[in-house]
Amino acid sequence: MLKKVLAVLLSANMLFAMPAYAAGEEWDGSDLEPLKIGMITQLTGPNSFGGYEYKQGAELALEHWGGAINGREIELVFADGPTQDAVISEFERLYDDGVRYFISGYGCIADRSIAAMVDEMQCMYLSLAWDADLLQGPSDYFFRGGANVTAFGRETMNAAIGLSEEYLGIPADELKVAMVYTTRLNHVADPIKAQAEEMGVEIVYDGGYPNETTEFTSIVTTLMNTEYDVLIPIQGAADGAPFQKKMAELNYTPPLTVAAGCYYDTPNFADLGDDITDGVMSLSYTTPSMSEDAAPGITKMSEDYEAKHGWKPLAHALQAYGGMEIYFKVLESLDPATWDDPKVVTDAMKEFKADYGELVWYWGIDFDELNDNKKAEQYLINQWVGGELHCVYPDFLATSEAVVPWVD
Amino acid sequence: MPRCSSCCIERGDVLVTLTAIISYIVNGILMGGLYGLTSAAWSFQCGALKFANFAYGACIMFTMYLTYWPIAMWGWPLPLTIVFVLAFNVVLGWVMRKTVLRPNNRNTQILCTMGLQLIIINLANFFFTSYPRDFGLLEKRFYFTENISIGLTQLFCFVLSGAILIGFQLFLNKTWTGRAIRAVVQNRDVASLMGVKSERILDLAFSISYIMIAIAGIMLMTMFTVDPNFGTTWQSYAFIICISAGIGNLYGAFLSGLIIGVVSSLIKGIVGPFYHDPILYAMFVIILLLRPYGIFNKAENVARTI
Repeated sequence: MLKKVLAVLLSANMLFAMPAYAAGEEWDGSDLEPLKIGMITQLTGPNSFGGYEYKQGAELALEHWGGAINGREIELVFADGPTQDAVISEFERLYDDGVRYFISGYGCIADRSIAAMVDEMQCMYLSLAWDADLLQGPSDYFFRGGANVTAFGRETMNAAIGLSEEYLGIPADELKVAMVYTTRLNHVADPIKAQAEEMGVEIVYDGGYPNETTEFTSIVTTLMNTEYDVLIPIQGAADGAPFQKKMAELNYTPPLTVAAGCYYDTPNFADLGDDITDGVMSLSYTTPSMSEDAAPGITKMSEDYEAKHGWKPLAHALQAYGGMEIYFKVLESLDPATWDDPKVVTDAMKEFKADYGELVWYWGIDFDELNDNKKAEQYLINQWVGGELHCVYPDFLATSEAVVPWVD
Repeated sequence: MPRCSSCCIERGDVLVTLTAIISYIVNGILMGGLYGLTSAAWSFQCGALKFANFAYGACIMFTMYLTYWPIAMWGWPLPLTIVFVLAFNVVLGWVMRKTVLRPNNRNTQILCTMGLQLIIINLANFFFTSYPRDFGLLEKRFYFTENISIGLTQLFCFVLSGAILIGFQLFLNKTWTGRAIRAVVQNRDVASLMGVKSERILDLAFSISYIMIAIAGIMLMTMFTVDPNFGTTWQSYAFIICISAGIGNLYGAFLSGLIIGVVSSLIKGIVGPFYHDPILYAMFVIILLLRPYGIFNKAENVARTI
């Protein structure tokens, strides 16, 4: 009889206690070893500005979460990966050092290779790569959290259409677009062209040029002799800077420039000077310049980052910040003692959902059967004014009014 | 935009006007001068001295960095930087001649200089990072009409290129050293019998060719953005220009540079930049097939010369 009473009391106790454990209130992982999360990012080479933005964004996210989740300390481990080979070797080194959780760094140059490795190595990888076809099949351990390039390209054209209709009064079927791009970025240009065809937009100048092109007089002269409404440049720094300089030398300003990110989102573009950059627009992922109403916490993130580093964060820092938040939210829902088993965490990751605006990067979270985030499809338009990016489109994310056409 | 059927070409919505065509040609000629300047040293090294230097483009790139870095990062004055760059290149040329170009075997030279090219590119990556650098200068332009203009720096390079070419030819023809270089190149044994120290003359000639590389690098840095791979394209152009002109023909290289500059500009402007490389390289192949000794040389098999 006594045994039965004790069993009932014990069961009742467990029943009432479980929600408390589930909410994480009772978990205390302070006596456990810190959990390592690795990021291999480009800390040297031409893209190191983005690599450091990623690193600092991740560090700020951890700082905002107090350095520990459910009492267990989180340790961020960074490694330099300027090339694909370096990323792979650093990935293996960190794995040997006991890191079982990874988030991709800027450039994500080895994520395709890593996607093929993580299931076998049984470690979790949250990729922020933009390859639309990165996920080739179901995976237990590989996730893709960010936006993809195909959607980005299509949205570039949609933004050009939207801005033209709203500010220039030109409907899509009358819109004439000129494109200038290095063939290295064909994978961005192709979806833009596909979307143009679908929307009835005419590409009147398709200026794809070989990757090593450094002289742009002919291309700019042709642009000067072409009737178009919107110029879409897709360029890196090595070609974007001389192209913009050549336009300035020839005293030419396009009617409206809507760049497809890349060089045009970076502080290096601002180095060209306000005379060249003012008024130029660029499509981007969600950025720290978007509205606090749509993404609560973005102002604090931006201000704290600036206070710490002396400049405003870029979209790159926000990417890493958002990626880290996904990790922290998932870990928060689990007993820290179980974190050492990546399978437990990845199962929780698959189930994790967040609505738009719940995380600081605005994007929601809803992984499909391939672990591809279905809620990372929102983009925005920034405009350069006085060496700073201002979010001007769409309206619910905008913090400034677009100035189209630009008037000095 | 005025349209007239007699002088305009319509490519879709792109209207190629007569003024645009003139602009392409004028700017192509000036670019051709630059190509001529950058190709001259390679033509001299490979054609006249018989040294196959495939680190040539990388050396131009490194010279550009050596021009940029002291001025932009250390605040050196331009004259001091020019002296530094010239001295560095003379020493580099001499060291190369004494090391990777010491073996007379052409295949060894090609492989050694190809290896050196990779070393230089990686050194540039290491020391200067691969972030593209430029002085941020906007080139001043002279306007003939509202739509036709030329870059003054390019014009200066064009004139300089011609002056260097003429000066260099005079040096080879009129000075004792120049004649000694020609004698050694034509017949080293006989030149030695005549009292010419052939090894020293070749060292000197190669170092002099590096002065031309230094001048080309300095001029390019005033107009272009440099990154560690910058030299690859220019080396390809130098190769095309020298081979199509006829190896060793300095005047031919200059003229060939002009042709390549104009054709390149017209392809980008009229046909479209996407087709630039395929058309240009196809032309190169056709020239090689039809005139293997080059446009400006007499019958002589260039492939065998290399």
